[in-house]
Amino acid sequence: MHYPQSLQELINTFNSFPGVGPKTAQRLAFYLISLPGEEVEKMARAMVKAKKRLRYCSRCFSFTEEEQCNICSDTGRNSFTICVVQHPRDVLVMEKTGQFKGKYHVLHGALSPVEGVGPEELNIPRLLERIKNEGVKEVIIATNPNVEGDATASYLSRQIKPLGVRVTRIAFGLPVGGDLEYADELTLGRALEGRIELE
Amino acid sequence: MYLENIILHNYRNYGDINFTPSPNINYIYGENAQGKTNLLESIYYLLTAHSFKTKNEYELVKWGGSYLRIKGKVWVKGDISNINIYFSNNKEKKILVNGKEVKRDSFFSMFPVVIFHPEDLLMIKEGPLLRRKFLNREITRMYTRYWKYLQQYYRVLRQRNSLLKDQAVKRKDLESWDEILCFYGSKVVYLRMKFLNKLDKYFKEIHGTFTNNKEDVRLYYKSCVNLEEVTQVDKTGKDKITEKEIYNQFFNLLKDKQEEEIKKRYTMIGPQVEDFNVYINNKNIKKYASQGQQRTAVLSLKIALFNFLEENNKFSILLLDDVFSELDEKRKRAVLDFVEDKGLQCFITSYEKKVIPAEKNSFAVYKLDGGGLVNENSGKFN
Ligand SMILES: Nc1ncnc2c1ncn2[C@@H]1O[C@H](COP(=O)(O)OP(=O)(O)O)[C@@H](O)[C@H]1O
Ligand SMILES: [Mg+2]
Ligand SMILES: [Zn+2]
Repeated sequence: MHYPQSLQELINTFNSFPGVGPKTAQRLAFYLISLPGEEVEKMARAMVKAKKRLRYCSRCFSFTEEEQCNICSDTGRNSFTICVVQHPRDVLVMEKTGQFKGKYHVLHGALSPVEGVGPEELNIPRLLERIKNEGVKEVIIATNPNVEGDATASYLSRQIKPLGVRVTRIAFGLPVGGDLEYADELTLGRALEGRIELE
Repeated sequence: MYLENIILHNYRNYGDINFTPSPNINYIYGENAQGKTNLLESIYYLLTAHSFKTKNEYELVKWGGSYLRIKGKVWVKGDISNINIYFSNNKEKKILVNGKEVKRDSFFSMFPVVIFHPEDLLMIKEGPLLRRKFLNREITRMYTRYWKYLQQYYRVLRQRNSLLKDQAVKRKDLESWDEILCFYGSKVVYLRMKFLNKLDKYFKEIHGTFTNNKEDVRLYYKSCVNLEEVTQVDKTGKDKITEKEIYNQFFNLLKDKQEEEIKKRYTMIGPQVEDFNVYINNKNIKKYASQGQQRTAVLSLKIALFNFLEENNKFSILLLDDVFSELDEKRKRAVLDFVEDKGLQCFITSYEKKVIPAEKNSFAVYKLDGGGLVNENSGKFN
């Protein structure tokens, strides 16, 4: 039996989401069409709105609706410290610790030659510019504690150190091979305190 | 540890078999192609979820069947474990221990078992691949963290090699992978050296017994780093390998090789190219020993492994497949005496019955015929 074309299209759409297999896609599709029309329209509007309004912060590359995100434009935060993360959601994770009062820089990935990701594919050139222009004194590298995150940290440290800037890496207590996303606030808070100097 | 019972369904040439072996020595004989090796393989598979014969697990399912099932009861230090392995042609595989699903990686080191089979001879005759496999498997069993290090090491290696394949690779890009490569690489090399150093002690001892102290054997790890330089004498006067020193040497070597690696476009040094050698009376066994000597040496190596495991509180089961084919009478006796003295559970296969001396009447003897086992002590059909 074939599903009506529009239903099949909907299933395929969900199926293309990360982490969603055919069975879940089907369940989501059936759930969606069981909802009242206005609910579905509200959802669709939310999607279109988010897509239309959101863009990368011109300074740190996190998501924002303005030219710059509210962290970058917050004058109460110090600009001497930059925390480098892989993904915009990591900014939120770090913010939850409530212990970091500096600014961020989002790489949107980590070095991975196998997947063709080199320094140019990440926002590394922009980071180096910021360090030179914004009077940065310390860079805290909070890339994921796995092989690619470590290599990225090593690369960054080699580029930044010669500029006379302190480079540290948060490493303490983080699960090896994991994602920053899954670290809880407590371990991350401790990790921030116990950050290590990169040679 | 011992195996109380094993039930096979659709395993290799076995349709259904329910086998309750003796907790001591089980001697299984039968003509060629009756399933002696298959039976030992199934015991090994029950305890590790790996076959020592094939990587392709479809081969284990009885021809014409679509799935197999192995069940077993194993005693470890006074506790019984029920193991249940299910495997089907459409790649579905389940390992249950006492009803709970267990991942394959952690299952592998739960139930120690040592196998000797005729193809182990290739470990000596052929290139380094089988020797590295031996190391990786057995060290994982001894030090569980080793597997994690090895996986991480290969992940870095893949990334680094992918970078080297690029014609226009930049030095600074390459160097950002070096620290992490050496970090995991030195851990792998360290554990391999430590493992072989310890195994060497047991190896010398047992091989001395088997050969009336006529053959002095030695295991030697062939590393990119200099073994003498990374081994230092510690406060108690013992040799101690220093992981930090391995790291430093590895790191410096990587720097020296950078030019060449960029030209050749792959990572030339590290555990992925390392090897170990076996020496008899200071001569490399691969080149200078007879087939019989090589065979005895591999057997000694396996028994050394058993003793090493035992010393680490992992009392394992010993599987000896076709062990007697090329051993002289004295050596056969020495092997039988060893297993008897240990009081361990052991499975020995042979094509002939006459190997067992009359006074060894504590052996449980089975005849294997067309996939059926007959216990000759009791005449009971298993
Ligand atoms: N998946 C399978 N299904 C059925 N028979 C198999 C399967 N794999 C191997 N065999 C058969 O098992 C026999 C070999 O058994 P083996 O244990 O090696 O014998 P031996 O007693 O000589 O050690 C061969 O005859 C082979 O054809
Ligand atoms: Mg055989
Ligand atoms: Zn910003």
